[in-house]
Amino acid sequence: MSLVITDNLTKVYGSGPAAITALDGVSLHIQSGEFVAVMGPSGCGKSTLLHLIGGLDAPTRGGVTLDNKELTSLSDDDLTLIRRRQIGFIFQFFNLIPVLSAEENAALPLMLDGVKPAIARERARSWLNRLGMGARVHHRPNQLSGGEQQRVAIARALVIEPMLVLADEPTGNLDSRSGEEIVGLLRQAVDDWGKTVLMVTHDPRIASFADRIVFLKDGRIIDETRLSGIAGDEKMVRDRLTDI
Amino acid sequence: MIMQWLLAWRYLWARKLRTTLTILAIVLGVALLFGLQTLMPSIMQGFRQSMMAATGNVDLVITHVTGAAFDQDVLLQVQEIQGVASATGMLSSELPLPNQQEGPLPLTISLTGVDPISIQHIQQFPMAEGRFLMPGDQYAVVIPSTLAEKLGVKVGDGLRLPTAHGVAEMTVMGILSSAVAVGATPIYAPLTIVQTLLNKPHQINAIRVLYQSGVDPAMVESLIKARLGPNFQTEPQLTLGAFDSAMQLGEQFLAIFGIMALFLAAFIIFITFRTLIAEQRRDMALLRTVGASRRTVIGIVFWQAMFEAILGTGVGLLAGYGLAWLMILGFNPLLREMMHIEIEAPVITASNVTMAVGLGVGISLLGAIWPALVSGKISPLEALSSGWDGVEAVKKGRTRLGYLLLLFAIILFITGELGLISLGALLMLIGHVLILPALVRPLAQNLTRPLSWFFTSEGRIAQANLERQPNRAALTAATVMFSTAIVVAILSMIASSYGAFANYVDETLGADFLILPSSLVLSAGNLALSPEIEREIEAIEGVEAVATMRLSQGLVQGTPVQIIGIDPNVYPRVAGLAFKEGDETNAFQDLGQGRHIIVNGILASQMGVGVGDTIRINTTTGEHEYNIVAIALDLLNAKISTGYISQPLLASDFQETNDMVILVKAKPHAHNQAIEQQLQALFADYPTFTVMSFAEFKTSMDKMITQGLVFYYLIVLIMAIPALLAMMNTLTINVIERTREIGVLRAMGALRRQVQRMILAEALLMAMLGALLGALAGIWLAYLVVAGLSFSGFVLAFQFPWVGITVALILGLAIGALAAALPARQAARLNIVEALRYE
Repeated sequence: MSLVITDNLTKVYGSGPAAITALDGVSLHIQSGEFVAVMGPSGCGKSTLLHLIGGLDAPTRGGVTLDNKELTSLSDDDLTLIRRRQIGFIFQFFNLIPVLSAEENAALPLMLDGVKPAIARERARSWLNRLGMGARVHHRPNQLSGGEQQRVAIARALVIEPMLVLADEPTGNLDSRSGEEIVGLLRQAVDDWGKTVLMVTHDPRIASFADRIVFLKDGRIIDETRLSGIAGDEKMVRDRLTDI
Repeated sequence: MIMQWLLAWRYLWARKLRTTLTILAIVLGVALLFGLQTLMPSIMQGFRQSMMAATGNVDLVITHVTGAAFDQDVLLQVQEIQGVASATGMLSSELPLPNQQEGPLPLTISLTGVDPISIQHIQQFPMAEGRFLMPGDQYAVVIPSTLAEKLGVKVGDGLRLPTAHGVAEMTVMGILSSAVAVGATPIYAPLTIVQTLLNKPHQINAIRVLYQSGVDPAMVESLIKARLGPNFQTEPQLTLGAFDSAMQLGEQFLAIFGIMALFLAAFIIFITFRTLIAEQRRDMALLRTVGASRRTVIGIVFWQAMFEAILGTGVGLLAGYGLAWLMILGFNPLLREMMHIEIEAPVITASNVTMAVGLGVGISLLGAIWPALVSGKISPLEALSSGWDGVEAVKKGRTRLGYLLLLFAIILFITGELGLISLGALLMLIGHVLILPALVRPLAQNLTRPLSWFFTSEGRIAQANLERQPNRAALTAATVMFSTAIVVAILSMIASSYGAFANYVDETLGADFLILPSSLVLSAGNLALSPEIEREIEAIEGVEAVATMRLSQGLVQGTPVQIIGIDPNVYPRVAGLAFKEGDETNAFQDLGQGRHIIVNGILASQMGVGVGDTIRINTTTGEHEYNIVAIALDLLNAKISTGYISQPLLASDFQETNDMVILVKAKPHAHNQAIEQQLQALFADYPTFTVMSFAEFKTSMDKMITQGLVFYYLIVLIMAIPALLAMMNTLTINVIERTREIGVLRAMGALRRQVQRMILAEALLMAMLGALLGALAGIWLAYLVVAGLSFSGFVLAFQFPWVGITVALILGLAIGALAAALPARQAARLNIVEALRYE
């Protein structure tokens, strides 16, 4: 069953001669429980695709369906509620709130949703524990390493038990070891916790953790590859990229 | 240089809202200062012109020390003196004007004999009808239009005047167009005729002198004195005396508000540039990396401040001029009613423009100095780092200094010395500003609790944000603190004055009926009544006693003072004085015998005298010494330097026997309504006097005070504006700085209104922080103001400013909510994708 369906998704920035087509008729199905990586050169529309699927931006043409709901027809408030309850975001620069502790950062979406602070913190703590951050719950972002900060960000994304996790270059700001640990956690989210993950990345090694890789160029899907889900497929990914 | 200008301009342009808010702060300060500066001279001019209408464009008035008439030949001597452009002799006498049809109409007029030619060199006589006097005129008079209306006479009609030879029939030759506002109603007639009518041939009692332009007035005056000898006294251009100093006090008071507003503006600029540096830190570091010198970087900040200062000051001047006009339009009805004075256009002088421009630009740049210097210290390496995380530390040394200052302030306060308490108040304000950053965290945590009833998760984020930048939050809260402190102080002063005022009304004017002249500032152009009227009032059935106030002027050490004559036997029975020092019964007893005087607090503090001291007063009959038996005041004269002596003494020393204020006491169980009706009937012929029952008087006083209070409420509101601007400024900057965080929150599912509420909660926290400390500081300031007023003789009982505190807290919350509106909207409208990309 497809959790996410994009139908002829198009996004044009600007108008007239200055118009730039960031995404050009992208149609994509993502199954529930699937780990999909999006790859492509800079400016190919990877992040735009992620933003449109996440309801952060509205398409110029085409539509996005998430769990049978057409996002483009929803109001801003309804979209916000979907983001709050069904989508978890992970960013390249972690984007934690510097004045809140790890636990508070992870609990934030629940607190925004009106969950009692004590319960929200409890759930945040349990996710931080699962992600190996149990000893660092009271630390503030500036007291954590990059990898640790990204773990907090993952906890923040998973604490709401989302259907879909959208990760925008989640390892882009990390060293290779931390990067692998983070993508390993995303793999775990799919395999053990039943989430669906859509990840944008430049890194073939990171992409090779996914079930499927979608290659974008100039705003269009130019290729798709299914992987076995093991790191050994890295070479194959590299070759594919070179072909493209 | 051009690059500095370009960058400065680009930064300002890129942040239009913040730039506008900062400029608005400067505009407000300059407008207040300049507006008041242009307004005060025009108020003073209004008073002077009003005086001039009665006295003309005179540089010097010469009279005999005794006040009596002297030989006309003295005029010739004066005319010969070098530096005198023109001199004219006058003979005037106050006369009761007989009713033109039947019975006496004891309206006092001043019959003034003038030389038709030379007087016009010194005074203009704008005519409404007919013409002014001409050589050859005999029994001709010129009268003011107000009198003509009152008497119903026209040009060509006859006017009967009492003279030394019985009633004389004069012909009205002309009616003056200007209504004489200040001084007794003058009637002009040819000098020779007046000399005949008063039986004082070849005599005059005043010489008015106009100097040649450009001469040294002091030199001409001393030449005149030398020529005429010690029997003559000279009085430079009519001084407004006690009133002048009261006006100056008001001017200073208002100037303080202008300067305070400007300092708040400087504070806002300081806050703005401080955060601006934080925001532009990376850019500045980058500039340094590519080879910009420290000076260049400082220059960019400096020019941003300069642009804002120049623009703010320019607009401020215009706004100030507009403000002055608004105030004139607002005040004129009040001044017209109370003092018969009309204020004209605001007066722009080179000096008040220079001062406003100097202070506007100067203080604005002052606010930017420190942040500019800090920007010069930014290291090029910072461009390569991940950037400023926006978390500030609280400087412990500063906090300690703050507490130390507060301790000092308390010690100074305990001394009870006004000067030291004032210094203490200043230290206290500075101390509060210094300790505020350390208080942000604990106070925010405590305040978050009540806030969490309305704001759940947003309240927590707001609190965390506040704690992240305690210095910035503290500085912003400090502007709210200043504003609320002033509000509390003003409202407390109003409450205390109102309480004291109500007491004074009861204590000093508690007669059953009051007959008051047209202006409650007794010396401002009121007509006095001849004392026969007292007998007629006493004859009314049910009247127990009649007390009167008679008014004259004297000089103490060259300073004009008001001397009021009362009957010490009757006055305390009918009304009273509010005694501050000395025994009431003994004081009144003493006043009846010998040269004794009761002085009011203002006179006592001005001259530095107390009970038991003596005071020398220069009177129309020479200088006399009076023993001070008490310090006391009556309400009408509470704000003017005043002494009270017995009426017989006023008659002998000051030659004044006419009544200015009449207070009537009714017998117990008398028919008050009947008495009032008879009083009204009796005074129907005295249109300048008003008969009022005590209740009516109190109501009218209340009305007058309420009108006056509007002005203070206006100040309260104006003082709230800088706080509002500062808060808006800070919140706007915060929103800009946290753009990405807001984007993340929105991406994670924060609703637009949740983001709005987060900003609102932060604003409310900051406002409450400022308002709480402001209320505390305000109580202190309030006590200081009340103590200061008491020190100058207008004793007030300090009333704890509950109302002020409540209003200040509500105002604080309102400021917070209002200030949050725009930045919150801005934050909520951020495009999520763009916000996430924001660096």
